Amino acid sequence: MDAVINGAHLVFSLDVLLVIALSALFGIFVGAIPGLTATMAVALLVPITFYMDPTPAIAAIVTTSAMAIFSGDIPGTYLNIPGTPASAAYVSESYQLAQKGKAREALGTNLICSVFGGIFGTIVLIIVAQSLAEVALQFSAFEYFWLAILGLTCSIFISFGSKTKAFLSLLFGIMLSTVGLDMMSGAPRFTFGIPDLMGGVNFIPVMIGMFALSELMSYYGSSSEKKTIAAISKDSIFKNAPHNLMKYKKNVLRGSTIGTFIGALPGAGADIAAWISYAMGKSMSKDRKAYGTGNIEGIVDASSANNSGISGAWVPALVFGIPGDSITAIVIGVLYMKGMNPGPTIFMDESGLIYALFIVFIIANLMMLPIGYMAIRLSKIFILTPSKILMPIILCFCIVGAFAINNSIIDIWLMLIVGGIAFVLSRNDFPMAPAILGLVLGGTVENNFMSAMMRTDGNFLSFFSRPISATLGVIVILIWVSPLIISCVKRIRGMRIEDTVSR
Amino acid sequence: MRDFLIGLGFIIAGGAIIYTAQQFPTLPSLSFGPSLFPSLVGGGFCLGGLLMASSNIKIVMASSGFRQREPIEWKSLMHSLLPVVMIIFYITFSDMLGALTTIGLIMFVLMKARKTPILIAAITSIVMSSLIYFIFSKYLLIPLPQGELFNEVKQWML
Amino acid sequence: MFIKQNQKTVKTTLLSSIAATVLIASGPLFADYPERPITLIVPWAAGGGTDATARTIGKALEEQLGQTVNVVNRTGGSGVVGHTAISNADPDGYTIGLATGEVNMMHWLGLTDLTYRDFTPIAQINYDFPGVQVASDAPYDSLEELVEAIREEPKGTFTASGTGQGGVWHLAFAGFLMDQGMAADKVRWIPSEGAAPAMTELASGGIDIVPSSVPEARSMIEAGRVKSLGVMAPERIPSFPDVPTIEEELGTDYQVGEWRGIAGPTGMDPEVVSTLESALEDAYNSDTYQDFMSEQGFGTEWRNAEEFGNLMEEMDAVFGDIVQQVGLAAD
Repeated sequence: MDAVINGAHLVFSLDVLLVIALSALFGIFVGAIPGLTATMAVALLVPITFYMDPTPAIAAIVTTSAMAIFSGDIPGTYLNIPGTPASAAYVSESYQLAQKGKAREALGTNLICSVFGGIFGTIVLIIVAQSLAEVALQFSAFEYFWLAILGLTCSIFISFGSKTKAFLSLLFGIMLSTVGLDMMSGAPRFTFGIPDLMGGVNFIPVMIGMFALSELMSYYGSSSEKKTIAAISKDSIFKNAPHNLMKYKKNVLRGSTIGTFIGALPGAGADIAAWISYAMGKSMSKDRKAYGTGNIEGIVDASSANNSGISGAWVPALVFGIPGDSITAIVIGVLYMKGMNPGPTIFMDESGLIYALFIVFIIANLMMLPIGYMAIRLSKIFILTPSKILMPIILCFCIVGAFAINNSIIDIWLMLIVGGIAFVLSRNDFPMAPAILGLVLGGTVENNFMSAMMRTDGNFLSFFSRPISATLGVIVILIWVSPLIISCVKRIRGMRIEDTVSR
Repeated sequence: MRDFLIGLGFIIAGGAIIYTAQQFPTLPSLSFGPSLFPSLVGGGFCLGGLLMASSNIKIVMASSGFRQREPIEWKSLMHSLLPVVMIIFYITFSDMLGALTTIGLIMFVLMKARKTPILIAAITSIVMSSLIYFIFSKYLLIPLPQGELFNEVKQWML
Repeated sequence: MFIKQNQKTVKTTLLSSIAATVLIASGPLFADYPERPITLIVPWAAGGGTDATARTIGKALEEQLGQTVNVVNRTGGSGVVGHTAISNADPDGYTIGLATGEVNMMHWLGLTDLTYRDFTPIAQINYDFPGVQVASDAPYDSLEELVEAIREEPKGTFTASGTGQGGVWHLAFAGFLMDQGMAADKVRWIPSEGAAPAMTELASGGIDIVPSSVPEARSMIEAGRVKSLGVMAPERIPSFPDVPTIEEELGTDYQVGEWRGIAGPTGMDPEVVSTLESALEDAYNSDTYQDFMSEQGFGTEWRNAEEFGNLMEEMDAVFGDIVQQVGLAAD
């Protein structure tokens, strides 16, 4: 109990609270700028946290990442430019809602779901971190392979329009993930002798290119000065939120649970969580047809999942010092630097640092409500600013943002080339979201596959030899096969297939 | 028609990928290696491209070739390349002019391209580019190019 | 490559004339070095051990030089990207980098043409030794038992992980096997993105051995999931006094590890190098640096510019030999 009180003392001091407030603003700001992401916000914080005491340093990171994940949905909703790979899952959904004049309602519901998801994940972290981490440690290459395949399958499953195009888009992303030094053999692939490409393709410049640049290109291609968002939306931020939450309370819980669990797996993060829970939401929804046309239900599932995934990722990080995602990978380094060595001892530490961390988590998530509300109100600026002024500014942020992640000019080239390809593809009704997931998960699929094969001398059946792995494998195969079975049954009954017709 | 061409593009890209992948080494104890995944992707490109092209070829044939084609608006296509040109401008000149000047210029040109009044364009570009520059280089410690030209001039002045 | 060259030509043609006049006008350039902030390139990701080392030495160096030291991460490609950036920087002393032992491996593996000759050594500041970690429920209580088990079982029975193919712990462990009179590939190497994912695999029973540095295994050792059987160091590591050295266990003086040091591009002014060298020596001896390193369990080892250069040369031959034996050498 002393430790809890010590922890509270550490947090409730003026400078820590000030740091939390400032990092909240920083996180909201970085997340809301098209092209800048949560991971980047945290990476940019590292040099600054280096000069801070442990509690404010951790507080800064926790607050920033939670805020940035949420506010990444703001440009997603208004401009169709998602802030993180996790929000790419539902960006078209929220953009469609915005076009119906429901941007604020979408963001308001999203905000509350994010807060709920974040707090849910934190409570799980506080109560069952130890045992959840034990479960997570049962996952090895075999399980991660299936989990990543499941994520990729979901991206096809939830896409709209032609499945062939979604498939090709996914492959495009996987293709990009193979660029660079192959981890397994150490052989460089598709690097064309450029040393910078040895490091592989970072998803940040690719995301900027695919969404922001291709959006900019179509803006300059069209001569009309049209407002992209129907009218200036006057809808209330929170008015419909309670109704939406009550209606979809199962979705909130399901999203948060899936998010926390997948987030807690060291080899899988908030991005897979968001896609899988979005896909689950769709397959279990009563009105599946509304998906893709601006349906708030999909946003509820996925936005609860990605924020709870952020909290979940801290489970293996704190218990075993093994990062749950790219953000906690940075966090562990900072923890070490601050003398908080992750591991079971961190929970026994009497100085109360760990409780300070838990309290910070809860404060950060609660702070999201007022600051997020402010941000949503302020984001009117995206509509009020005439496109002819807004677009050039976005372009400059894109250039600087692409450069900033690795301080490399090559990343600007990458953004340019990918943006060009994405422009052509999206003009021809290719969905771009699967490509992002392909890029993020391509390496996971390949490396875990190869690693498993190396251990078992190429015996593919080994993917079914461990219980969790076998279960996941069967689920994936069922998802693949079930549309075929259903369509066969329907054909036998002489019914027309409705869902699988491609455009 | 467009789908047909894009499908064709994917088939060619797939072929090129498979060809390149054949030169990758294999893993010590296995019969496959780093070439497996790129080859699968290449194969997928070919398959998907084929599907797209073939489902489209009927339409192309039926309309006796080119009547279906929407007229490509060359002018609008050129306009959409404007951001691309600006980015290449940044890549080429930012080391010399510095990030601050370069993004300022880019903003100004892009705003003028959409007929923003000159005063508004000038003021917003100056304010926003300075803001971006200072946030990134001073606050976030990103080593944006400072501009060798100015460094040299500054040194010379002292 | 073509991009860089294009930029360079544009730059040089436009600037050469101005630069020439300026150079003459401003007199001896390095008189008051350093007069502006210094960039320290780190070839590894923010948050990792090398990054932390770089930031700490950077902070200490800042106190010595009275100039800001900006740490910049250039990651990827097993270190190729960052090391290339260091060696391509202007040799004016304002861009230096934290070079790591990968300099002695990358070129043997055929990843790059870059060798230790493409750097100006300034000072070595750290040396980490590989340990031998196994799951805590593994049936070996000493390194000797493990080595005997490896020797008796057929090739490929045991698997190990901890870095990518040809990474430092891979080569160090292969060298260890060779030292014990076994084939370098007697234990199958399963590449991984680093020590952390390898630790998970070790705990979930996917692999048998992780020969990473002992501090990298600390949290798993404390969690009772992993035990360290030995460390390939000349003496025990102060923060892990229970882990014996391989000399105590097996009577061998084999030791190959990961060095980290400050280096710059070739062609640096000798005066600048010696300014940096002496500032680094003070930074190395500062409490900031020493306290941090001992708390982390990272090894400290000082070599001045000349000794550091010799170490690089010496290790280059050692790793060349191992890479050859493992069968990873580029043609």
